[in-house]
Amino acid sequence: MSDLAPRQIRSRADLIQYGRALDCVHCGLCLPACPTYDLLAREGTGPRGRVYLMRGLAEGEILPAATVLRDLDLCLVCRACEPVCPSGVRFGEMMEFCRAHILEPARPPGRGLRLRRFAARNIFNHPALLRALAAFFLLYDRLGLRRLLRTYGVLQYFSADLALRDAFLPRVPRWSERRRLPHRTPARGATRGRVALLEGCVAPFLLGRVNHATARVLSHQGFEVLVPRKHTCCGALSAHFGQLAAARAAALRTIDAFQALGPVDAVISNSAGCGAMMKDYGRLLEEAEGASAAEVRAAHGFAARVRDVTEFLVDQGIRPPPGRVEARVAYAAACHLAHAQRVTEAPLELLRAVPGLELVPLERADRCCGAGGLYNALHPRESLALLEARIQDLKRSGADTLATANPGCLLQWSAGIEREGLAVEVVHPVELFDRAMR
Amino acid sequence: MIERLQRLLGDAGAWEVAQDGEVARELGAARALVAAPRDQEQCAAVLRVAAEARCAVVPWGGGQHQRLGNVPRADLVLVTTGMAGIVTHDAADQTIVAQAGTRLADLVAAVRARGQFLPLDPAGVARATIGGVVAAGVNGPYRSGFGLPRDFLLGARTAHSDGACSRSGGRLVKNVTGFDLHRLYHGSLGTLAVLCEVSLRLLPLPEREATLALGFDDLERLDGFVAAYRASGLAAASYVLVHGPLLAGNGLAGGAADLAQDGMFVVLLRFHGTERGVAESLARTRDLLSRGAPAAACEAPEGAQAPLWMACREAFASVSPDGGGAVLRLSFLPHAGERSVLGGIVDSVAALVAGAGSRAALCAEPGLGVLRILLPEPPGEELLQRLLTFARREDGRLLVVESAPASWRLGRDVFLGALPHESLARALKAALDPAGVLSPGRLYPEEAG
Amino acid sequence: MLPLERLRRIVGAEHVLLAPEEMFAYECDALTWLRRRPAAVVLPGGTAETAEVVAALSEAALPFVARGAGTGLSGGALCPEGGVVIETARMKRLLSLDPWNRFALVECGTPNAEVSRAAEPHGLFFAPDPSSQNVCTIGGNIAENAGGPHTYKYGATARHVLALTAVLPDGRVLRTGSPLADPPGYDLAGLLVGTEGTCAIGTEATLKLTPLPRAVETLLFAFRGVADACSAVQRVISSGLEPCTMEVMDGATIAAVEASVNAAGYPRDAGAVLILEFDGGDAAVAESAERAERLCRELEVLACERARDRAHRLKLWKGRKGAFGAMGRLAPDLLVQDAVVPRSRLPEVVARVLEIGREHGIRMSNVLHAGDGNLHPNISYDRRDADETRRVLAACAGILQACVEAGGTLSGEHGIGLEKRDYMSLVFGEEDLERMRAVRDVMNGRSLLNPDKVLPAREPKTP
Repeated sequence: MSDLAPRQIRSRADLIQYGRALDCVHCGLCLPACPTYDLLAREGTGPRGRVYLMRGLAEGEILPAATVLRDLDLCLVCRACEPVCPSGVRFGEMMEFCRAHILEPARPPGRGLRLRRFAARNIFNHPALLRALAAFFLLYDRLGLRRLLRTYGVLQYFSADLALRDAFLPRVPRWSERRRLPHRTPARGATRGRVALLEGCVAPFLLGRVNHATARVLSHQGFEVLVPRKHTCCGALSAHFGQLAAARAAALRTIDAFQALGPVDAVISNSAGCGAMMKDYGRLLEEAEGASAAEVRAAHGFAARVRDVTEFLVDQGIRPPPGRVEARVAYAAACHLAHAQRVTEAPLELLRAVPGLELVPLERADRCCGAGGLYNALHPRESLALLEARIQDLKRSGADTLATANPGCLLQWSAGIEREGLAVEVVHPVELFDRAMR
Repeated sequence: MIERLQRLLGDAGAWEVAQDGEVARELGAARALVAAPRDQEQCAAVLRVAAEARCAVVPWGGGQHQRLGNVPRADLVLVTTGMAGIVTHDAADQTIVAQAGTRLADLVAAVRARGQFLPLDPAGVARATIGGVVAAGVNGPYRSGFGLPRDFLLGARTAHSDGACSRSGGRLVKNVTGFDLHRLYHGSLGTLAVLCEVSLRLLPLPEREATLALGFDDLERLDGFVAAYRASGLAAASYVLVHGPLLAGNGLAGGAADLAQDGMFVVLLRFHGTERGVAESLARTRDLLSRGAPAAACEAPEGAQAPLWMACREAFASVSPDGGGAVLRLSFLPHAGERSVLGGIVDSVAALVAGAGSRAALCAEPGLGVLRILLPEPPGEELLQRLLTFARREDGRLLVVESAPASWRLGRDVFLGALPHESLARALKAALDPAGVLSPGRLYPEEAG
Repeated sequence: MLPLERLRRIVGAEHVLLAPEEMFAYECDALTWLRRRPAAVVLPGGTAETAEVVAALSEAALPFVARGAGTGLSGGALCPEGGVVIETARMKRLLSLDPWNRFALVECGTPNAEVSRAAEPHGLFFAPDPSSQNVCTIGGNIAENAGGPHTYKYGATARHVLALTAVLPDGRVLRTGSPLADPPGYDLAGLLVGTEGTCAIGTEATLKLTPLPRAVETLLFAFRGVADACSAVQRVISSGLEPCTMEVMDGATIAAVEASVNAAGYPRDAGAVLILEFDGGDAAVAESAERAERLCRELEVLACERARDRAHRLKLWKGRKGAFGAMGRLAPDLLVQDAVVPRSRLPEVVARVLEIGREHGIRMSNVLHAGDGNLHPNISYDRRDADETRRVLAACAGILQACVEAGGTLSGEHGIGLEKRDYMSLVFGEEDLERMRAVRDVMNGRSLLNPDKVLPAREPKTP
C-alpha cells in the first residue's frame, strides 16, 4: 500500500480520515439529501463533491484555494447525507477533521480570524462571558435599539449581511427565565431511577424554559434529576468549528463533572447537538493524539450512557399525562437528532402521547432549517434561503405550533417565524408534554 | 430501367404496373415499374439503380396504409412481399425476427401457435405486412392497451438509397447500444429507408379474454363513464368507442341488437389476463356503471368476440376498402380536469358534419383522445374548413386527413399544416436518403429543382 | 477563448465556475477511472438561458457537454478537452402536472423520483426507475434511455417521453412531440432519446404518467447460485406469468448489502436471491404470486419470503437499489458494468463472466435485471493501483466480448458514452455506424456538443 500513500498524510488521524474519503464510490445518492446542494447546485456544495475535494486535498491534487474553502465552509454539517449513504461514508467526522486540519490553517489571518478562534475556543466554556453577551443583547433589544436600527435600515446601510445577521440574533428572555436548574430535583410518584441532565452552555441563558420543562417532565415520570454544579459545555460547537483540541478539553471536563454526580442510569440531553457530541466522545478522544487509554475508556463508558430526553422517555415507557394540549403541531427533526443520533421516532411518540395534540405532517421534516451551529451568523444569506423554504413548508402544514428538539433549531425557527409574521409557537417537544402534565 | 432491374432480380422480379390496378389507383400514378427484391442486398441494389436513374421509389408492403400521408411521386414501386418469412422466433426469449414483407396475420398466427402474443391488429391485418405496419406506425384496437408497433420494435435492418444496408438495435428486449434509428423509421411512411427486417418483443398469450359492450344513447352519461373509468385506473387491452351501426350484423347475443342502432355509441372494452384477473376487471367495470349508466350492456359470448373486434378494427380503417371514402382524425386531450370532453366533441363534430349535409360514422379511442370521422366520400371544402376551425379553436387539438382517395389527396396537404420542423426533417431525410428518391413528397412537398 | 463576460451576463456570475480546484470536482461521474477536467462549468436556469449559453459557446467554437446529476456509468457526461460543462442542476422545476390526461411537464434537471413523488397523490407514477432514481435527472434518463428493474414490464424511458424541448448545438430551440396522440411527422423525440447527449441538450420534457397498481406482491427467493435463480426466472416467464420485475443478486452482493445501511434481511448464506414482483389488480396479483411461488418451490429454493406489507417491500427494494453504493464498502472504486444477452443464455453467460473475473483476479459481484437479460457485474477496485485497474479493464473487455458472442450487446441501460465507444465495432458494422453519424451530424454537424462519445470516429477512407 505504501506506494499508494498520498502526499499530505502525516499522522494517524490523517490516515483514518483519508481512508474514509476512499469509502465514497461517487454514486451520488447523497445529493438529494443535501440542503446546500439543493440551494446552490454546485458539485462542491454537495456531499459527493465535498468528499472528492477532501480526497483531492489529501492526495495533493488540488490546493486549498478560496473556492474550495468556500464550498467546504458552506457545509451545514447537518449530516443528512449519512443515513442515505449506502457505502456508510462518515461525512460528519470527515468534515469536522477537515475544518480542523485544512480549513482553519488555511484561513487568511486577521482580526476576524482571531475573534472567531477565540470565540470557538472560549465563549461556551465561560459563563461570565456568556452572561455579559446576554446582557448586551437584552439591552440592544429592550432599549429599542434593534427596532430603531431595523426601522431606519441602518444595518442595511453598512452591509446587507449585517442586517441579515441581526435578523438571526436571538431574543434574550427575561431574567426570571434564565434561572439555572437546582442541583437535585426529586422524583415524583413511584421512583424509576436517577438521571443526570446536561443544561448546556448557551441554553441556560436563552432557553432556560426548556431545561426547566425537561427537569419537570423527568421528575414527573419518576426520575430523580441531578445537574452538575459547574457550568458545562459539551464541546460540540468547538468541534463544529474545527477546534478539536478545545472540544476534547471540554469533553474531559464534562465527563469529570458528570462523574462527580455519582452513578446514574443515564446522562440526558435535550439538545440534539450536545447529545450527538457526547455520544461521540469515545471516537473524539480515540482519534486524539495523546489521549490516555484511561481517558478513552472513560469516554466510551460515558458516551454509552448518553440519551436524548425523548429517546430516554420512550425507552422507559411513558406514564400518560393527565392533562390536554390543544395544538396542531408540526415536528421538525433536528439534524443532530435524526441524522447524527438516528433518533427519528421517539420525539413523535412523545408528542403522540400528549392528549388533544394533533400532529400535522411537515414536508421535508428532516431537512435542515439552516441553523447549523452558528451557520446563520457565518453564512446569513444561505441560512436565510434555507430557512425561508422551511417556513413555506411550515405554512403549508397549517400548524399552530412547531416542535423541534435542539436549541439552535428553536432559535432559528423562531427568527424565521418572526420575520414572516406567523402566529406559530416554537417549542421543544418536552415542553408540550410538560404542559399536559399540569 | 426494367432491364436493369430484371438483371438484378430475375425476369419475375420486375414488371410494369397495370394501368387500372391497385398500385396505380393508390398512387395516382399512370406509369410505374414494380420491383420485388427477395432480400436486403437486392433491396439495396434496387435502390442504387433507382437513385442513379433519379427514379422515385415507393416501398409497398400489403398496400393497406398507402393512403396515409400525401401522394408521393412514384416511378418505381418496391414491393417487399418477396422478403417474407420468419427469421428466428426465440420463444424462450419472447422475441421474433421477421422479414419486413411477412404478412402480419401470418406473424400473429405463428406467434400464437407457440403460446405468445403480438398485440398488433391494425386495419387490413390480413394483407398488411409487418414492415408496412411499422413504417406506417399504426395499430388497431390494441393501440389503447399496448401502444404502437414502436413499443414492440427492438431493431431493424434497412436498405438505403445510396445502396447501403444498415442495422440498428437488435433482438434484445433491452438495449441502448447506438442510436435507435428504427424509432425514427417507425411512422416515417417509407421516406427515409426501406425496412427489410424487423425484430419484435412478444408477450405471453393471455389465459383469458373477455369483452364488454356498453351502449350509450346519452353523451353525458358516456362522459360520466369515461371519467369514472379513467379514475379507476383500470387497464383494458382495448378500449374503443364505435358508432352503433358499424357493428351491425356482428352477432352480439342478448340485448345486443339494440347496440347497433343509429343513435347508439358503443364502448367496447376487452380485458386480458388470468381467470381471476379478468373476472375482477369485469366486476370493477360493472361497478363503475352507476356513475355513467349505459342504455344497454352485455358481455360478448366467447364466439362473438373475434368477429366483433374484427368489425371494430376495420371501422378504424385508415383505408376504405371500396376506395371512395375518407377518414379524418381529430386528436385531443381527453380530459378537462376530471371531466371527459369526448361526448362534447362527438356532439360538435356530428353537428358540423350534419350541418354540411354529410353523413359520417364516428369511432374513438376514449383513453387516448382520438376521434375518427369516417366519411363515405372525401369532405367538401366547407366541411373541412369547419372541422379545421373547430379543431383550432382550442389548444391541444389536432386534425389530419388519415385516408382519402389519391385523386382527392393529389395537390393537397393531408396534414393540414400540422407538420412541424420542416428544415430539420428535410436534413434528416437527406442524411438517410441521400439520393432523395424515397417516397418524395409523402410528408413534406418536394422542393422545386 | 471562453466568452466569459457573455456567459456571466446570461446566467449570473455565481453560476459560471472557473477555478481549477472547482473543475476538479467535475472531473468524473460515477465511472471514476475515466476523468477529464473541464475548462469551465455553467449552470443555466432554464431553456432560454441554456439556448443563449449554447449559442455563445457555439459562436466561440468551444466544445461543450450537458451534465445532469453526474451519476452516469459510461463517462457520457465527461467534458471534451478544453470544453465547458453545462450543468442542469438548477433546472429542476416541475412546470405542470395534468393528472387526468396523465402527463407532467418538467425541467430536465428534475430528479427522476421527484416526478413520481409529485404524481403519487394523484395515483400515478413515472415508470422508469433506475437504481439512482432519487438523484439522476430526467435529462440524463432521456439521454441514456434509462431503464431500471420495472423496465421489464413498463419499458425504458423512450416509451414514457411524450414531448421534448431541446437546445440544438447551434442554440436553436427544438420543441417536438406532443401529449396528443400521433402527432404527424418524424418522431424526433423518439429519436433523441438514447442519443446520449450527442445531438441536443434536453431542457424540458413532457412525461407520460402511469396509474399506480392497486396491488403489489413482492416475493424473495433464495437459491444456491445465480444459475438456479436464472432458471427460476425462465420458468416463471415460460409459464405465461407476467411479473413486473425480476431482479437477481449474487452472494457477494448480498454480503455487501447486508453490511450496509440498506440491509434488507436477505439470507446471508444464499448464493443468490431473486426478487419477483407482480403488480396490477388485487385478484390477478394474488393469483400470479401464488403460482410463481408454487413454480419456484418445485425448484431447489433455499428460502422463500413474501413481503408482508409496504414497509417490508420497501425494505427488500432498498437493499436492491442501494446495492451499487454498498459495494463502496469493498474498495475505494466501483465499476458497474452493464451488458445484455438473450435471457435464456443468462446462466451460461453469468458462469463465463465469473470465470473471466477469476482469470483476471478481480473482485466482482453481480446484480441482474434477469427478466431483461441485463447483467451488471460490479467490480470493486482501487484506481490508484495501476495494475489492478488494468486487470479490471481487461476483464471488462472479456465480459463484453463474451456477451456479444452469446448474442448480446454492449449496454442495456448505462449507455456507450466514452467507456464503450471503441467496442462498438463488436456489434455494428461501418455502414450501420455511418447512418448513426449521418443523423448526429444533421443536428451536431460541427461536433461541438459532446464530440467524442458513443460513435467511434470514421475509419480513414482507403484510397
